[in-house]
Amino acid sequence: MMVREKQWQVKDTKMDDRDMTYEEGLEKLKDIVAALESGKLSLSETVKSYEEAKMLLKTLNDILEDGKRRITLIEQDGSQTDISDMIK
Amino acid sequence: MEWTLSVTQLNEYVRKQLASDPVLRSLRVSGEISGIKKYASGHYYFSLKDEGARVQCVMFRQNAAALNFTPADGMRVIAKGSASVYVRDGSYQLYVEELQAEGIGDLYRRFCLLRDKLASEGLFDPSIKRPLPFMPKKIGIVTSFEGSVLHDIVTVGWNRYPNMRFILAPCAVQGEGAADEICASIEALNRLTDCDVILCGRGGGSLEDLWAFNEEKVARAIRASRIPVISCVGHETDFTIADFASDCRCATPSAASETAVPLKKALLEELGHYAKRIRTSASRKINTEEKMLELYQNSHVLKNLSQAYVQPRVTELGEFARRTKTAAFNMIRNASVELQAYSARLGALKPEAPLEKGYALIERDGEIIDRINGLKSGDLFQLIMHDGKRKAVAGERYEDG
Repeated sequence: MMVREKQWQVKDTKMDDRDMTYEEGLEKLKDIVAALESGKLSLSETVKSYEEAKMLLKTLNDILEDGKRRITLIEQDGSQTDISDMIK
Repeated sequence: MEWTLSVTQLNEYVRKQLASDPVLRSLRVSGEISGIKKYASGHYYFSLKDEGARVQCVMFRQNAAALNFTPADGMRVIAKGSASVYVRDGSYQLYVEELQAEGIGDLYRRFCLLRDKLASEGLFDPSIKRPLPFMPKKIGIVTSFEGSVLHDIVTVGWNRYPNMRFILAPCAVQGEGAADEICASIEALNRLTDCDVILCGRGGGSLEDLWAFNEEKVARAIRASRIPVISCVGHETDFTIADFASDCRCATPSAASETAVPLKKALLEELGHYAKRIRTSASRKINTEEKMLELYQNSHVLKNLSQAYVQPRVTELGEFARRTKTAAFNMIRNASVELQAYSARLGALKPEAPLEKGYALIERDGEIIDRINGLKSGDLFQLIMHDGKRKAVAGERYEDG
């Protein structure tokens, strides 16, 4: 029963994958892994969950790889300067 | 007479001179503790100071063990001991045998008062501490542009997470106006950036150096921040009001960076681990299904499907076919019997049939004569019997017929 509910959660929030935090994504991933490993899913649910997990893994990986190292200096007036080169 | 002394001899001589002075052999000195350090050996090293001067002090383990309080920077104390020269360095110092807390220093007293006031307000309650982000996308730093703190935070951070982004809101961290600048930087990061955690701190120093972080306004700015704040002021032993007010206190800037920045390698390994578990569990499920299918296929029942299932059906079908055939045959036979009966009855309706019983037809010129007056005396006609015809001549009609 629990497994089912968690499945639904995963389904419901799939739309806003872009807005989720890394932590939320990781929690979802853990839920799917737990559901898959319980062995209680049907074959079609297994395939569906597997696809969802693959999508989540990609999203999480994208978050980790997002952006380049940078230090920005911000002044009180809001002006910003990239000072990355000053730290070696 | 002039002497040439070695350095050691000079220092030894001064030491002996001081040691022979009865005042210096046993004296009490009043002052404020500053820069105290306890070594692993158990000895304390510190300075005693007043408004105009300071003196180096050492308190050995056997004496320190008898202390009924823990000496700390800012405390006003009376030290009892002797003054002597440390020959190796040519410096003189106070060898403290007993230490009495005389009261506490001004700064230390202010520190304690403010700490108690803010604590009673609930500003340090664990329940109002904001949780730190698990995976910050951008990290704010509140410290001076100069100094090693910025460098330490960024270097440690990039070692752990090579593409981490930082945003520095620079400020003075000691001296006049430092507290206001710290507050303004925290506020600016909240207002102007989207960082999800702030590291706020400076390197080690005396209580006076760290004082900006003991100001009430800094504590309030930290609590007013929407973004969680990690404090890292001074060294392991330094505790400031900012540390109590922050959401997480780290001993040093490097430690703060380690706390805020996740280890990317570990995160990637964790993802890989889950990817493997997903694959394993999904393929295990599919394997299980395949095995089940195989099991069914190889099962006695299905393997002997023809004997166990099909054959009886074939037999059954054959039986049914035979029965159908029989039924059909019987039906046809009955029909033909019936038909024969009909045909016999039809046969009985043949016009010739009565002839066989001895009747005869009379025909003249191809016409059947069915009335007695159809013939006149002397007419020629044909008499037809069942086995042939004969010519005949009509005689006289009987009077009564």
